[in-house]
Amino acid sequence: MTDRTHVSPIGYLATLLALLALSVLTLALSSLALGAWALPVALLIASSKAILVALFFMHLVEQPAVNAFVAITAVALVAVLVGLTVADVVTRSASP
Amino acid sequence: MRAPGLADHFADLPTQHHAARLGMWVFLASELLLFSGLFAIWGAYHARYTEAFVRAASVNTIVLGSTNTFVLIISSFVVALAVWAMRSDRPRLAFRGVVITASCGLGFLAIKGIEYADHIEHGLLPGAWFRSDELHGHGAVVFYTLYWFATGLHALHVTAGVAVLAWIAMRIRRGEIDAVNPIALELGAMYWHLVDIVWLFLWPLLYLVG
Repeated sequence: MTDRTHVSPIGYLATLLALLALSVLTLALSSLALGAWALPVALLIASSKAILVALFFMHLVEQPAVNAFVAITAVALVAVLVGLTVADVVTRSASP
Repeated sequence: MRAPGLADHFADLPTQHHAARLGMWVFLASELLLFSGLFAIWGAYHARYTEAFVRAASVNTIVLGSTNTFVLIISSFVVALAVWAMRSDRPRLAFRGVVITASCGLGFLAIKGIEYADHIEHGLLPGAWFRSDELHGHGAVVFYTLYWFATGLHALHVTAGVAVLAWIAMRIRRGEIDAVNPIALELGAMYWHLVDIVWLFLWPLLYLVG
């Protein structure tokens, strides 16, 4: 491995600035009344931040693809668990 | 001669480090699944009590919770820099980075403690102990029960992360982690980033959108 493949301090700084900007955006959006859109938008921004942290702070970008495969599998399983649990509740009929 | 820190069953250090990173990713995946149970329950109750959740989140300690978001993001940046410093053979700089990160972790816990004290004072407690003057109904009780479990589990992880970072700082001091073999610092930093990522989701769910 050469230094060329490593994330540089500039890369970390750019990641930090993006994370701070997205957090400020989350705060700004939460003060608006987005109604039903508030949750999906907040989750989308949080996911973008998580991807930035995983790729650059956790160095996924410079590691073999198999490491990303583990992370993606975990996230997919979380999506299945959360998705089906919520789908169960929202699709129940009002009367038993 | 075998390199220091190279285990018998690996051909060389890069191979050993690759295995260590992959193992860490599998461990972090299992940590994610541990938290995902709480996220699933949150999602299900949010669907059931949407308006009560929005009201309950709106009385949460938003300024303190948001401050903690920035504390964790900055600490993640600093520990990433510490990994870079160690890889480029600046162990003293790496040591300072790890100490600053652990201090941010303690700062996070202190702020969390102030929040918890505020919640106790206002009766925003889990389950049968819930006795708020502002909030009423089952939805608010469920929200604050989930709040305590999710933030409590997360705070335990922050505590573990601080302990790991303190141990890593000690090992850097003793010269056991260096530019040739920085893997312990790398893995400790990965754990700290996971703690950060979990909070990046808890923050909007428990403070902002409800």
